[in-house]
Amino acid sequence: MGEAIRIPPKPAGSRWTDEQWAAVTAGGSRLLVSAAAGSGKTAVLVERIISRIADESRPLDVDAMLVATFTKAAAAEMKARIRSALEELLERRPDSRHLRRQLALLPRASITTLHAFCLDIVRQYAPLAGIDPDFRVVGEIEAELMKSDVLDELLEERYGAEGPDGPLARLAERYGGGGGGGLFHPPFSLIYDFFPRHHGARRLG
Amino acid sequence: MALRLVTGRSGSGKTRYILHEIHQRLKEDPAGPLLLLLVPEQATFQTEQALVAAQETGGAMRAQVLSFRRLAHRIMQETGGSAVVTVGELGRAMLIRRALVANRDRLRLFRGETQGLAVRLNELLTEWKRYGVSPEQAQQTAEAMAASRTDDPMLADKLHDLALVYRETERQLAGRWQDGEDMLRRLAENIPASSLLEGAEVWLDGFHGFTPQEFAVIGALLKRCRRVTVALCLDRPYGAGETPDELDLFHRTAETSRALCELAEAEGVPVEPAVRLEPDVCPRFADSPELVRLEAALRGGGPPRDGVVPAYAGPSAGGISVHMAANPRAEAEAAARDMLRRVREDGLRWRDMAVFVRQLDLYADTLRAVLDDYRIPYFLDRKASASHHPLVELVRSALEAVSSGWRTEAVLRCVKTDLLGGMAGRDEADELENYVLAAGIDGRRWHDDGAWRPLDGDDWDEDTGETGEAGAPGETTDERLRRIRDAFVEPLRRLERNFRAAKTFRGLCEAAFGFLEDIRAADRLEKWAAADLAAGDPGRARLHRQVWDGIVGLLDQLVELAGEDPADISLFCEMVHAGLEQLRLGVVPPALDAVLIGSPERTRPDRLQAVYFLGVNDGVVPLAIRDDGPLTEEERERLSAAGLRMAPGARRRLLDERFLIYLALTAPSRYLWIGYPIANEEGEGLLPSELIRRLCRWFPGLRPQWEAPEPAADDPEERQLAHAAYPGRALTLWIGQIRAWRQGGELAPGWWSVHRWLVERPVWRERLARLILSLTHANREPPLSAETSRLLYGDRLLLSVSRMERFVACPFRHFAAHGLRLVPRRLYRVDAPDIGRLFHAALREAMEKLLAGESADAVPDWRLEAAAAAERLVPRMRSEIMLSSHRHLAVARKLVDAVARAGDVLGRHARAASFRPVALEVEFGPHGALPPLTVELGGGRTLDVIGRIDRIDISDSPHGPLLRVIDYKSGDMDLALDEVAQGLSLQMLTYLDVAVTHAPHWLGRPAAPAGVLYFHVHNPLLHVARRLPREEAEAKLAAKYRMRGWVLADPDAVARMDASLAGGGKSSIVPVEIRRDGNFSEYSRVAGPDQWDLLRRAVRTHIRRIGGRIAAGEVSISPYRMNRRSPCAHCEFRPVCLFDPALEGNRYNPLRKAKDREEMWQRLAEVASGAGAALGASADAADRGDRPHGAGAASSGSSAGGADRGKLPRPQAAFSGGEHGTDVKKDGERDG
Repeated sequence: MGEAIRIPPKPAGSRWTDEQWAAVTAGGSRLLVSAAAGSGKTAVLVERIISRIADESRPLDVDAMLVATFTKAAAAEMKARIRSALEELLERRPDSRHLRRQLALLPRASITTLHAFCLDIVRQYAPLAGIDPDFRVVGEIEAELMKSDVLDELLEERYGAEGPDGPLARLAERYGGGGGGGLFHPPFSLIYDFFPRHHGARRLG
Repeated sequence: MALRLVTGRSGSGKTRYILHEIHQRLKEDPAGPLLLLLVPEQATFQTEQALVAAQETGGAMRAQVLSFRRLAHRIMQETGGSAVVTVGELGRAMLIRRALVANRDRLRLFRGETQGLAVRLNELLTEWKRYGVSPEQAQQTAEAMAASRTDDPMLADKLHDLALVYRETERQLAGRWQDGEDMLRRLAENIPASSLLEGAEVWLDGFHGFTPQEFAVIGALLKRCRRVTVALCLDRPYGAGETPDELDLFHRTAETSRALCELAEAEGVPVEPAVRLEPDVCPRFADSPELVRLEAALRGGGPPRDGVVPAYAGPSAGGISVHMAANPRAEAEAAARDMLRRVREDGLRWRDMAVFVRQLDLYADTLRAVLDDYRIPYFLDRKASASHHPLVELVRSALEAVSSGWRTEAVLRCVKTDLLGGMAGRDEADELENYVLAAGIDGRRWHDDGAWRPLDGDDWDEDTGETGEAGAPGETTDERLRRIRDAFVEPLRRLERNFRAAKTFRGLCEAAFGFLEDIRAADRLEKWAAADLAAGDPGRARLHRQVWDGIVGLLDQLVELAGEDPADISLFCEMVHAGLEQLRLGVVPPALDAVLIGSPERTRPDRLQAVYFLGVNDGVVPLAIRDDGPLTEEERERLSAAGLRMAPGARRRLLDERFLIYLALTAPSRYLWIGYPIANEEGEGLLPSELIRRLCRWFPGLRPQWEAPEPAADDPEERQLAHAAYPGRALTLWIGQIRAWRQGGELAPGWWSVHRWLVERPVWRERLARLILSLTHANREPPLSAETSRLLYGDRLLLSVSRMERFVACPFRHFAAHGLRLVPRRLYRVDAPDIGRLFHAALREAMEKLLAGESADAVPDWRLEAAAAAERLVPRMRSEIMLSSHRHLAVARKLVDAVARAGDVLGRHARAASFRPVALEVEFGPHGALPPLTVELGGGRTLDVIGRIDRIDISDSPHGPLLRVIDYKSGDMDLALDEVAQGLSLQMLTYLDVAVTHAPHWLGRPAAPAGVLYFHVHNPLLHVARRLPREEAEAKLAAKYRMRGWVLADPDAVARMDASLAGGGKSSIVPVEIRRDGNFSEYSRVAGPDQWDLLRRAVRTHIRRIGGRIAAGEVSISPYRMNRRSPCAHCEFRPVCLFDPALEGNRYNPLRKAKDREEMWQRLAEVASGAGAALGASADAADRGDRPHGAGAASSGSSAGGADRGKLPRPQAAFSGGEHGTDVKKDGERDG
């Protein structure tokens, strides 16, 4: 909040609009760029990244940046644009070792979806979290099977603890399916899926 | 005593130069001192071949090709000294894991002692050890970092933990022999004493860099040998102190060059002038101007102007091609076709070609499958995992079984390995599995003989007397099952006992090995190996031994490293599990003529003419290496700066990727084939590598060629036919072409030559003919022959009503269940039929008092009466299933509640009605209390309709007795006359027909039909918006129990069912409402006597027709469909019939609902009068009914049996399994 936004003057003949120029060059603060679809947000962002990397007076390696997108396609697009922008620059400054290095390091750059980035972080710090670094992301079907196993075990345990007239039995009484396949099973997985786990879910009962 | 470098770019002839030199030395003096050519392990075979090929003089005793490892063995043989058990990677990971566990409290960060962490720590610590970082040095650095506050505290903590674990494991390893690491150290130590190496000349070829240990060996060789020559793929030699540019393509080899020179300097060995091979045109590319250009372009003219390369302007000779494929499989197929073409048209040999993939693991299976398809011999440069071998699975599952408390899933996996069970084979294993799953054997129940009881039915059923499979004479089914069980499980029990008795890891290992001996695993493997050998598969035969050695070696390591640790079964199991995961099978030795498959990183190809570089995708080429080790890239850099020597980090390795790409692309001398898929096998999109775009820029004529998985109709004919490269694949493609053509597609004429080729060869002709037949396949089932039908069903068909209903629903389903007698696997769980059986049995017991003639008021509390009956029966359901878990107990409580309330309601019904039960659970059929309904089918065949009626009620009206039939259902059922009209619902009306038709016989007087009603056994809840007064609630609940069905349209008759109806209004017992005017309302489900007669006749017509169709052998796959309902939704035979409405010949049998009641009755009338035989059938059966069947009928009242039937106060047998089971099952189907 307290930081001042600095915007250098736009050079004459620039292809950017004033707003775009401001979004490309504004420094000294965090920045939120909000604009309609097709108004050139990606172009602005690429330009901003490139001008930062190309600034050899304050060298910064491309693999020290995080560029997060929502889709894989957007990440790939972003990477491709940064690459061709770098190549263009290199043609103009063929002797720049810094630029060549950036091109070479580009495959390492974190230009990726948020999910992939988070996954990388978790993997890298897995040992500190006590997770096996060889973890993998569970598939949908496998997750369903695991859920149902866990549910079975949990129900068995709770029924054991509560007896046939406990709260669980009463819940089943009111919300359980009739006879047949459901076998008096309340739709727990439905409850689980719809219960707002993400926002400070509280214990029931 | 001299170092010499040979430098040159890729293809400049370094290997050739060295081979030539060795060859010269041999010519000069075939018996001189050793000429040693050191190459990477994986290149020894090819290099040996190349050396032999280059020699005209056959004798090669003087010249030897060795890897560092083999050299170590050779020198060790000479100088002595080798240890017994060597500690491999797995052993070290084990020690690290133990150190993590033992020091849990002292560690600051690495607290989760997982196998993945141990493996990664092992990698890092091995690296430190290789690079000479000692535990003390690590600890000092850690302390220095902790002391200086400016530093990263997280890194300091990490270093603390690493140093701790490092120190601990090194302490454990002291005095032990380490695979790989110590071997080279010892080699370096022993070289000075080796006489073999005295005066020898040494060449090193195919290396790009060396580990510190390898440098030490080279250092020793430099001093011991006459000259050491090192060939490096490098544009110029780099001397001591000369630092290469980090972006230089040859950075890696330049570093090596510099380090070698510095090493020579340090050892005081002179460096000879380098041999620089710098021809204008590298000999490898003499025939390919394009590849010359490519090599130059990849070098980019060298720094600093890398990347700015003029486009190729020479002639396009097709040396380089780029291929874009739909998926990896299509890509591999396109490559395989190209290989075939090169062999057929360009005279290449398989050995002249190689396939490169950056991540071989992801491609190995696809490549294997495709090359096998095309019968291309190949050598896969990769060790295969052993995790699918039965012995591995046996050890894994056996440990799991005994450590998990006998989880059935683990025990069965163990049983299925074919290694357990001695004489018991697969049939026994299957029988055991089926039984165990059906009987719910799990955990301790494996050993509880009481739980191993026969399966069939509930304990209140009479024994069906079936003994199942034929066993030893005098052996009952359960004895037999226990015998099979013991054959499989006894060794596991002994293993468990020995585990529990073990005090140390050594003890656990001994127990595990004892188990393998116990079951004679080694003998069994020998037998398998012999069989494989006899079948001509020596590769497979070798495998069994390797796996055995691997597992025994694993146990040896455990004893060696942790033998005296206190036994910890779960840790032991985890360690063995991790070890098995890492168990690798040796590479199958290469054949003389095979395509090499490898990765550019590992494989050292030589003399290749064609290279296929597959999977050239973004993120793969160059490979974006992930830092997932314990240290991040930044941390590695900081530690390097702090003086800890480390291997190149992920960044450096990324920069070196360009070198690997360079090597791969410059490997072939004539053809470079580059491919990339645009999607992976799961269909996720993939992008091409940046390399593709660069190639297309360098070579303006180059365009990615599309490689479709199958020929497309709009492809030019030549491209289409290119797919037909190998007969097997051509055959399937050709069939696909014909299919498309039959559906109106274009057919390129060239395909007919494929057809001719196949037809002309007997082997293929036969397969072609079979596949062509498949084109006209329709999923239809023609009727059985008369003979088959007769053999199957006999001349006297015995059919239950539910079975006939099933036939109407889908004739094939009926055939599968009753003709083929398929039975789905039984599982140990409570299903709808189980619940139905419990309801029936409990309510019958409760109602028996009424049957005995007591008044409804004689029972003070019907609820208690029914609850008591249910409580008595619940424990006896299906092998005590309801007692087997807490959850089942809760379910049982609900079932008892439902029965109790149903009993209460039934009592109330009884008090309000003059109808009384006259028969419960009464069977009709040849052996039943009532005779069957019999229908002549013609052709000498008759049909006996059999079944069991839940309950028949009677009331004596002034006009004679009235009968109604009641059926208890666990689901909410109604009698839809639409379904009656279609023959889908025959049961209730048939029952009523039987009861009425045979009334003179069993009641002694004729009776009239008064209704068919379903009673829903359940425990309803009311969903109401507001609190209700008690009476209102009870009225609403009572309405929920209102029976459904049809009753006689006669005010007196309905009042006999619900006395309250005498005063008009709506009944809560039967579906009837009487208006104020005394007439039935529209809502009422009532039918007049004529209509009841009509219904009876309609049902009989159906029965006759169905009997005829079954007898005629109809088995067609034609499920009905009415109101979007079909029997398929709950059919267990779908995997058998494969019905699919999208298939030719498969369609539903559409049944339409009637618009209104009028149309419905109209239809019923049509059915009743249909086929002109309905009344005949009726008369026919009624006649028989009137004069009951057989001897009993003739001598009614005289013989004992006849007397029983004559009176029939109560049914004889309550339950008899089979038919009833299927009957109630219908229930469950309709529930859903």
